[in-house]
Amino acid sequence: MNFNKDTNQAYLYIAPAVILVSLICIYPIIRTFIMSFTDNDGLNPANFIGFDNYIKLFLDPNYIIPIKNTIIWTVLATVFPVAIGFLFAYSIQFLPRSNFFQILIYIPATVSAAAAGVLFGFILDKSGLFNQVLALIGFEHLNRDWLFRAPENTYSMIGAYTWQATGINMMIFLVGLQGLPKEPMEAAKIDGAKGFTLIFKIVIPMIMPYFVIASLLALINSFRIFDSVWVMTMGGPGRYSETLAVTMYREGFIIFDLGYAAAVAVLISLVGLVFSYYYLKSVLTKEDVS
Amino acid sequence: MRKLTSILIGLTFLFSANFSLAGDVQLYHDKAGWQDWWIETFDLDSNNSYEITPFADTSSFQATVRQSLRADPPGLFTWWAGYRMKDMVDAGLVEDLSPIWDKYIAAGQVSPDLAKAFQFDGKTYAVPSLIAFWPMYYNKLVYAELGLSEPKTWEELESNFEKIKASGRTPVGQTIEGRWPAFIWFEEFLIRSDPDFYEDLVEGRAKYTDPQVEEAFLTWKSWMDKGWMDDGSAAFGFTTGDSMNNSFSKGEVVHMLVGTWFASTVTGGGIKEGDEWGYFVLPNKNASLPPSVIFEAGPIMVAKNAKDKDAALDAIDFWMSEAASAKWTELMFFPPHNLNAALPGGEVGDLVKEINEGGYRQINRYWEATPTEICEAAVDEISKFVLDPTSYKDVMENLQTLADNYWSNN
Repeated sequence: MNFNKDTNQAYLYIAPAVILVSLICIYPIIRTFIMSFTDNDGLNPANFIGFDNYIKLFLDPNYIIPIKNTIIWTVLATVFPVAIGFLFAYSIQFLPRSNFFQILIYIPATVSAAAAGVLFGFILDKSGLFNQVLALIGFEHLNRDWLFRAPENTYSMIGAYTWQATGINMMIFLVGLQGLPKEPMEAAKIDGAKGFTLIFKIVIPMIMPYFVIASLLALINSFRIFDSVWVMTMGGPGRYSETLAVTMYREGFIIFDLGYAAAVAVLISLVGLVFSYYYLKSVLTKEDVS
Repeated sequence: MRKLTSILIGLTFLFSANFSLAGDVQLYHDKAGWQDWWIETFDLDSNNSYEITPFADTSSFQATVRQSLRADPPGLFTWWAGYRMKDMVDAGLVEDLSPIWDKYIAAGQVSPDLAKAFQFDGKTYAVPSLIAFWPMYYNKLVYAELGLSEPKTWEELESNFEKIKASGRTPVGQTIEGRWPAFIWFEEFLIRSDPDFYEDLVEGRAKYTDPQVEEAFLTWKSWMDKGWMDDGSAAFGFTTGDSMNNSFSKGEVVHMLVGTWFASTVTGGGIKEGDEWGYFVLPNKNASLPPSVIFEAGPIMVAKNAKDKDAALDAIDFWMSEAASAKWTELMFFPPHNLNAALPGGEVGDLVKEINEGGYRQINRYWEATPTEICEAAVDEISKFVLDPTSYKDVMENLQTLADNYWSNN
């Protein structure tokens, strides 16, 4: 490997970033990975216990609910924000003053998940706005404490999350739609394509790379969902709305079984890493093409 | 010369700064709302100066304290009693405070019973920052309207509930919001029938599948079936309009079983202490039992590896004094830990007097009395019972599995 002055200079430029990422990101990842093979409790010297924490995670019946909830979150919190985001993006472009609607739909994405959780805690409460609206439109029989009953609480929280996550997906699709060449669309219209045919046969295939990016991003975020759940239900009642990330926090910072919490964190990270790999691959491929 | 003068002035500041820090005691606590009262009480200590750090979030507080105990811990920190502090004691990371207790017990200023909440192998590892009892709060306005009086027997209690229910109100508020409150009625039903069994259960000498636990769940279930208790979905305090406390202040819910530390929240809900709300300790279901009450103590501990350990021990000595206890009681309305300090006024004062004079058996709260690993999972299991009272048999089995897992390894 030849190093010239320019190369050295380039290394110097990126050195601070590399050092910072190593300290803040890589080092904790390695520590967490090592910790996952120990019985670390934050007080006593940790002992190596092999794969015990991982075996516990997969064999303990108590962890079926978090795993099931995480899967529900991953599927629904990907499908809804992406699908609704696309619908908004596609519809908005035909509206006058579309900028206003873009801002309106994007605003929830600027609210922190914790703040949104508190807000929806009030909305979904027994006497909250959601039940009041249901009663107003004649569906009073559906009134309930949405965050207290399972599985309604998980679906309600996914609804709240969708409200927040739709804006960013809409923006991704707007970029994609604005970059579409006009000719194939016009040709399809001349050939009689309209409505859903035009959307499903022409528009969606043409912006498929944006669907992949939006979906993978949503998958990564929903698989590790923590803040919304913690603020709204703390994973309860009775652990019925717990997700894997909540399990990790609960084991780590409430029970202080740090070794076990680290094993859950490693599992979440590995799945996130797989999604991230495909996400980056699709982003980088798109950049190469452009 | 000017340079030398500057250096000398600098050194003077440096030494004076170090000198003033020598008596500093660090206190970490997670009761951010108490910050002013901590400062006001410790201001009375002429021997030490204090650096008091509040943590708004309990989890980050616990993580910080635990991680610091081997490295650079604060001299003083608040914690939770019983099994919640046991792992720190077992790891040898907190100071034995028995000599300070012995001094005050010998002087007749503190009750040796109080030390039990912080004792392991005969040594006492903390002093109390909080003393609370768990009586029933009741709405006196509703009692007056319905012509009810404080129940002295279990039958009178249930008779009151029937009349309250008939008036269209909910006799008892319960909540499982935030997970932990699920244990409140579980422990209460157990001690009202068999407090010895309760103490055996939390120590692993009895089983969650025993008939006494089933009886507790069945009583609880029957109260819920009769509509005497709500479904547990209401929030605890002020967070929503239909919180348990707000419903209590409106007279929609007539009783709540909460620690005495909740008094200011109840009064803050808009009803007047004494005239409009009061306390009674639940009568026993088993009438032959002596009176008893659930007791909760919040500890202050001294970190063994703290640089300011000597000053912290001196601070603990001050904390146990009559002056500190009286000030703390005056500010917080907690029962005083020093027997020479005056009792708080109002309902709490009357309650403490009744407990002291009535020879009540003081029983440690489930949250602290049983191992944390069991308790943290148990509150989720008990919550499942509140959600579906017919599930009590499964819940009992699951609780016993949790207990077996813990006690077989400890």
